[in-house]
Amino acid sequence: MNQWTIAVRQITQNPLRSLLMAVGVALFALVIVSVTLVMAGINQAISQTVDRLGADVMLIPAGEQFATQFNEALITGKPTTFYLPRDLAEAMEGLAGVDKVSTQTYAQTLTNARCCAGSFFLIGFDRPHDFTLEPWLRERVEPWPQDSEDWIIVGDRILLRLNEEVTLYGTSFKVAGVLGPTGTGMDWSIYCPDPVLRRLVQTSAVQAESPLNIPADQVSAILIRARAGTDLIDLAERLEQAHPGTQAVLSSSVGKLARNQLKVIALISLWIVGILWLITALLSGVVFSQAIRERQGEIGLFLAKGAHRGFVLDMLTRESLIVSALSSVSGAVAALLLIASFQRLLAVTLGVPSVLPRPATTVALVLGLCVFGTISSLICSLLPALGMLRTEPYEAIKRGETA
Amino acid sequence: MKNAGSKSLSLGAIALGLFVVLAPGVLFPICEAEHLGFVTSFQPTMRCFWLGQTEIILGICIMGAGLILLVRPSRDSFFAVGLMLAVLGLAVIMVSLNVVIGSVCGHAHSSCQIGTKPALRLAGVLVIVTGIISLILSLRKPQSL
Repeated sequence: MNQWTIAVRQITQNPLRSLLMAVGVALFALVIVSVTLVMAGINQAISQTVDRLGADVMLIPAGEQFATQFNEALITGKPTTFYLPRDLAEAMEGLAGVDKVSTQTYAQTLTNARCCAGSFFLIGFDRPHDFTLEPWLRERVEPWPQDSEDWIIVGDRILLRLNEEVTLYGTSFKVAGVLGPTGTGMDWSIYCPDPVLRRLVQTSAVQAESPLNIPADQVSAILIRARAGTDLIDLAERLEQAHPGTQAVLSSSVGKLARNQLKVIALISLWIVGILWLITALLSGVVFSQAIRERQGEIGLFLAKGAHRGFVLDMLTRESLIVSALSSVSGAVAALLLIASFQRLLAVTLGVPSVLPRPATTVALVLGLCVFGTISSLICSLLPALGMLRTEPYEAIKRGETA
Repeated sequence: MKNAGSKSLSLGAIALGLFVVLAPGVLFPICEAEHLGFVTSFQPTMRCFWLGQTEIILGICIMGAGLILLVRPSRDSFFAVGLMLAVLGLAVIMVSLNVVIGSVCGHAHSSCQIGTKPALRLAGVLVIVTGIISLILSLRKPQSL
């Protein structure tokens, strides 16, 4: 009978004790894997959003609240409205370092729009100059309709398909394009050419339940693509100095702002994981310590018969290792199953583009956390065993009889 | 422990049945016409309504099977209920995959697609596992039940 067999026999002979320890470790693995995967997934999604913005610098009205709203709109597609003069876009076209300039005008659909539940982000885009939508078009009608017709492009998560009709602000629109999934706020947005949006402002006054109000000659954001090799920070500073009352948002700072907003959630999660780790460590230690106290006599006999202390420690290590490893893996697999099954629900609830990192990252994180859970539980459970092994065999047998 | 084990299994089956009953209406609600913002009197019956109704019936059957185990924990009932749970679990999964009845909302991001269906699939797998454990217990010695 080798040490593995003895360890397995000990586990099966004391199912309640083993189960208690396993439940603690599995629960810890479940929580730590869930929290880590979600945090890593959100972080990766924010990076993707920044990479996919298309514009290097975006000019919006000055003010922290506008920056926050703009950031939320880009990341989650939450509707927002603010405006600045349209003339600014024309003034920027000749600036050094500027390659392309386009504008967007923001509005939101009414909550009872027939396409979908809730209000959605409605964006008027500058079709002749736009460079942000084209790369994401999955389906489109050929050729594009004229601006005299009422047509829209919808994000991947809007409940509409190509050539379907939808009524917004009392006007019927045809879906002329559908974007592919971007993992950003674009998925939740509805785009229409700027002239169509302006016409909607006029028609909504008589056709809609409530009118759409957008100031004439105003846009919400000016999107700028810089020439290759341009210093973006320098360009942003020049833009702000030339046009007081505006702020230039760098694509890189969008990610920074989003991460700052998630900092509180991350901190709370970290505390929960920490407290749970402490509880699990204590539970493993107490349960294993109790088990060793019950087996003092048996261990004393092993030592008295000439078994080496290393042999006994090895036997106990294997017992703890089996329970810790199996429960860590079970908890991690359960967490992975839960997060993978409900990833879209979690993304919608948390208001983020996605919650699961890339497959390679996911596998690496799950494996790493399984090893961490197993090792930490193993150390905590073996600490009481080390103290016991220092006891003389006779003393251990005597204590075992009285225990 | 042996009695506690069989009792835990039957209570687990009842809890899973309750979960399947509550999932489409309360825990992970399916889409409802009034949530779509129709302002007219047109209130269509959503496709997922029938998925919800079918799952509720299956959930009640699972609860019933668990109840049989609780009140009559004999070897034969463990075998019969084990088989029944395995079939019911499979039915829960097949209904959620739209194999058995019609379909749910075609849009990949509707609430029935992102919440109800994944929850029911997980519950279905757990019901099958419970059924298999019940079958294994029925094949053991009589005193183990």
